[in-house]
Amino acid sequence: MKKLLALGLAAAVSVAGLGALAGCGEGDGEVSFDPVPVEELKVGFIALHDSNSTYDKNFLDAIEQACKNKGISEENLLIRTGIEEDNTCLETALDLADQGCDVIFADSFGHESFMMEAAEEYPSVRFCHATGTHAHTSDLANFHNAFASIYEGRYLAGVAAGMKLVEMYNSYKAGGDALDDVNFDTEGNIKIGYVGAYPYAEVVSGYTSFFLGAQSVVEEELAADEISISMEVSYTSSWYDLQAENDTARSLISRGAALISQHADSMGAPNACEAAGVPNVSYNGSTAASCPDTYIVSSRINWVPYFEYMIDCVINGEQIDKDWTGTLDTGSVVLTEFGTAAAEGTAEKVAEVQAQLEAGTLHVFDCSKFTVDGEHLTTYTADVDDDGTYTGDTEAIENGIFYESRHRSAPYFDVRIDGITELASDS
Amino acid sequence: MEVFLSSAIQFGAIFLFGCVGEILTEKAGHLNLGIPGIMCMGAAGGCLGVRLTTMGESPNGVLVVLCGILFAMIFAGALGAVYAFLTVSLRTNQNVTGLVCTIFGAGFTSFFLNDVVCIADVTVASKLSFASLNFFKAQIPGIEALGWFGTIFLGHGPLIYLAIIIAVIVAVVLKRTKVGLNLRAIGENPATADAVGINVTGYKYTAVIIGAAIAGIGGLCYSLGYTSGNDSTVEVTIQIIGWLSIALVIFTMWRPAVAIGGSFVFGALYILYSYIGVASEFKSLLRLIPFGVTILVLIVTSIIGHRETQPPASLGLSYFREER
Amino acid sequence: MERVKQPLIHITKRDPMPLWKGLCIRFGAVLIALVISAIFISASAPRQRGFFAFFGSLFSGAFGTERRFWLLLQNTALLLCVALALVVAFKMKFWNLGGNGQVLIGCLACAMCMYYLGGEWSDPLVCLLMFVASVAAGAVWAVIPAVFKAFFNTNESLFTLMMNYIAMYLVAYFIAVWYPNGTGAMPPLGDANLPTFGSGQAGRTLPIVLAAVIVTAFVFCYLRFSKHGFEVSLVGESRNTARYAGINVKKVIIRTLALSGATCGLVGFLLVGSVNHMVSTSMDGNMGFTGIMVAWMGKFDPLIMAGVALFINFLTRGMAQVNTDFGYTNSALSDIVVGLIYFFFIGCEFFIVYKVHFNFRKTTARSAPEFSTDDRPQGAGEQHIHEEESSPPVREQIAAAVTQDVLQDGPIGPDGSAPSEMAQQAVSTRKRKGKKEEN
Repeated sequence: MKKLLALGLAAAVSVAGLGALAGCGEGDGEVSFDPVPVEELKVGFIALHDSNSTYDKNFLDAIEQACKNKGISEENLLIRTGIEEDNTCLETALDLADQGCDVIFADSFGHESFMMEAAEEYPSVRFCHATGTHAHTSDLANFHNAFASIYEGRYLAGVAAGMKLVEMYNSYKAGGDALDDVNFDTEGNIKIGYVGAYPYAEVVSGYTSFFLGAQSVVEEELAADEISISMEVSYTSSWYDLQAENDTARSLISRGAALISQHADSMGAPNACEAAGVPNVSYNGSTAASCPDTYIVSSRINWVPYFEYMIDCVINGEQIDKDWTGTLDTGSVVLTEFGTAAAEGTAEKVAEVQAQLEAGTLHVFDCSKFTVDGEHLTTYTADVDDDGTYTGDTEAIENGIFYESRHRSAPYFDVRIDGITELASDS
Repeated sequence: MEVFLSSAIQFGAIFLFGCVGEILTEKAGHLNLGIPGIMCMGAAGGCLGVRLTTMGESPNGVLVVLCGILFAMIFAGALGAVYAFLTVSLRTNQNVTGLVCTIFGAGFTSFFLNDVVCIADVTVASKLSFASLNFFKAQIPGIEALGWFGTIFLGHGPLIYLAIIIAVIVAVVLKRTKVGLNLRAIGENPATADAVGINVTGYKYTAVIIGAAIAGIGGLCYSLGYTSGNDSTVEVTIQIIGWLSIALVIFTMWRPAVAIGGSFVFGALYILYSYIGVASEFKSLLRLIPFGVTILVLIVTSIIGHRETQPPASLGLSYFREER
Repeated sequence: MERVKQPLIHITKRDPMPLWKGLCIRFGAVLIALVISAIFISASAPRQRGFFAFFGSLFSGAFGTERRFWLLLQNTALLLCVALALVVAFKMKFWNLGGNGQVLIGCLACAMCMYYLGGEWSDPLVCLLMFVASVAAGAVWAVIPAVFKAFFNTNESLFTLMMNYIAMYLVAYFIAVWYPNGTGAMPPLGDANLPTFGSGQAGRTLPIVLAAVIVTAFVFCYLRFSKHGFEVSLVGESRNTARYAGINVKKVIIRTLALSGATCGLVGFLLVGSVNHMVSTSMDGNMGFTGIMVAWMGKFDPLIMAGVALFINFLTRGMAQVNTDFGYTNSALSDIVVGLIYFFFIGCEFFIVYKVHFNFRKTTARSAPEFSTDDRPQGAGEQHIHEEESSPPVREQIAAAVTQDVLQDGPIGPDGSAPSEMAQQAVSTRKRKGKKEEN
């Protein structure tokens, strides 16, 4: 609905704008933006690391693809890599604006404050930022956040993982060695492990949705044996630290994890899994090449739809959404291909669940499917506004469903549910 | 626990290579602060070697490993040769030259691995990973039967054993052979050694280059023996390993045999934080531990101050034969 | 008459060459390195732009816009301060590789003041406290290794190096404690920001440039004109001589490192209070190592160092533009170029100090007095010449007398282990001959 309105407005504005282009001066503080012809449109891109990091590579590939799709020449796409999350970001953003960029995008969480500062100085340039949390509460008309409902992708990846666990359990029951006694916890549930980076909402949302996806399949298929799963999460305190992720994964495996997934950017955990023969669900890209025997599936965010939307808004001179959340529908959440280690029937099952998610008949954070301290949640105030007080401000649960990414694009599900243990937290 | 110890040994082997290489160099009187960069070059060379030999259908495991080691030694030795030329023949300051080698080596490795060997490329990645898992991490068959002993002591790839063998060889050469004695003499007092007729320049070059080559195998040991050739920021980790290896040299009092045990201890300390369950912020404090321990070791060995625990007397100084 | 084989390559020390000639050689070396880099980069670039475009991009990246010019000055100023801090230690032959850690700990101290006191106490008071805390923290961080070096002769290179990593993990720890729901990154703090001199990038840069000018002047005067500076040089020349001269070597070491660390702490204060208003684990920007190169290439002279710092930043900032223009996405490229330039520069120093003669006549009569090669191994092929480093006037006076001590006085204990008999003999023989030669 909002999009329709914006489209109508854009049409009106572009007609007016094109006509008045010649005589149009500076906006002098107004909120409206002039349309920009494609040949002159300059896009600026700020990357935290460079293409050696899978996280940034995902963005870099997408922006290059989007620019190509839209007909923006290579010369007009200014990419700056290795921009740290400090004042360098501000300096780079200002520099890109100096160079005539009409829209500037930054890809890392810590870039946000600096992008906002730059947005204040250049009101006629759009500043877009991924994973950020402050656009929806800020007064700036030219600062925007974006993310995607990756939790749905992780849920589907969890479904694939669940299928694998069921296969392993059945083989174990039949006398095979797919599972050992160490893989079962004290209540007889199958253990899995997760390597996380930092203990905050984006990661918690990710591993919880993964867990719920796997749990749904296991509980359904193994209902007769009353088997479920439990998960141990360990944090590395870094987004990219191959040795830390490798050792953390090994540690989880030695504690009995039958399957590992991760939210970290290196190949550390997949390497450990391949070496130990433990199935792995990776993130941000297929690891089939390096881990042919244990790779199951991977989920990632496809940024091309957002970038195309972003560029369209600039071409048409219209406002970009303050918070834009890509979904399975927009093609922003994708699964990479299934590996040979995936169980039989995985593709069909995942497609089935995906259809349910897209249709809205199934919700990932269905409060009836998980408990907190033994109780089902009926209400939860999430810290959506991220004002530094770390207290909740917005009711996130409606009709028994926790709506993630509705109130802002970046995740805010940070509930610790039963069945998931964070290793060595305060508990 | 076994996984921790096993992992500690694997990581320790990387330190061992760097340490033994640096001991050899320091015994000749040269403090090579370029070891971090040299180890990076070893990783670069090793990956290239492995990539070249795994292009075919069914690569021969022994050939792949040997080729990897050879290329690692060549690349690392080349940078070591540059260091040697600058510090032995041109008599530049060793600290500065070493640091430049580190800066250059790290940058070159990052570029080389990512843009020349293309480790992110799907085909290359699969080849490297295959080689890593099947050759570099190949384990002696039948160790599972030995339980925890097997996992900890025998469940390692060939490079780990190579590290120990090299350490033992270097220890024997230094202590018991004439060549080793000459080298030590040069490190203690090159003027005297020269007066006696030892070819100071030749020995220095040899020691520095061989030391660099040995350290380079350490880089290979990390990139293919520990990870699977898919760490695109390998130079960051290897630099830290390189600095700790140089510190380890002091810990081991310039004795390669002690380095075998010492490197294991350092390896354990380095990876400790991944195996101890503490809250996220304390992980940073745990990561300090190897560096704190190194400082303690530095302090303690200097306080004790026995002759045997002191560095070679002419360490860090360029040798000039005086005009007569 | 004996016939002796002449070595193929004979190296003699040059007379000190005129300044312009030395500059030309150094300039030439750097230029060659740049040309090699340009060829390599423009040839293998994803986006072909041509050889000369490399230089165009370099200049554009460094000077292209007004903002870029001010940023260049800002980075140069900070780097120069760090290099000056290190020079103070290097003059004493104390290899302070801990610049990174000292800067970081200064950053952390400043950030702690901002975080805990910003908004609570009045801004000017907090700013003053930030200054004091940063400088003190940096000084302490450098004094700790200094104390152990002074008393136990602990290896300072590695000690300071390890302190770098400890500082880094301390910063990571505090950020995690202050922002538990974050990703290890800290947002900028609004309170207690240092004042700027007007608006825009110029306004933000000028205070830093001013600070750099003050620090340069101070260090210059300190080292050249003050008594402390003389003591620093003397201790660097020879510990024994300094002791004989009545100087308390331990005190000098500790005091000098306190100054070195304090200056680094000041840089931390500027980085956090003025530029970033927050702290991160990579805030030092590896200036500790780059500063060493600046100090070395600048021959420990503050004015030359300023030029070198400017050049290095010109390169780094220019390379960022080269990356963008030529389509490279690997940030390591600039390290290679900079490393190459360092190599060439270091190498060309040799040709400035020494002259290489090639002897194509294989044998000659034993008349040349310089090389009595009868008891020297022939295989060496080179004659090693004793070198005296170029130095301020103070050194030259004592250099002759203490040369032997310098060779003896390695990185081991103040009184060290007693040299072997043979070594002593060899040394005293050389001492006698050396004295003869000098007179």
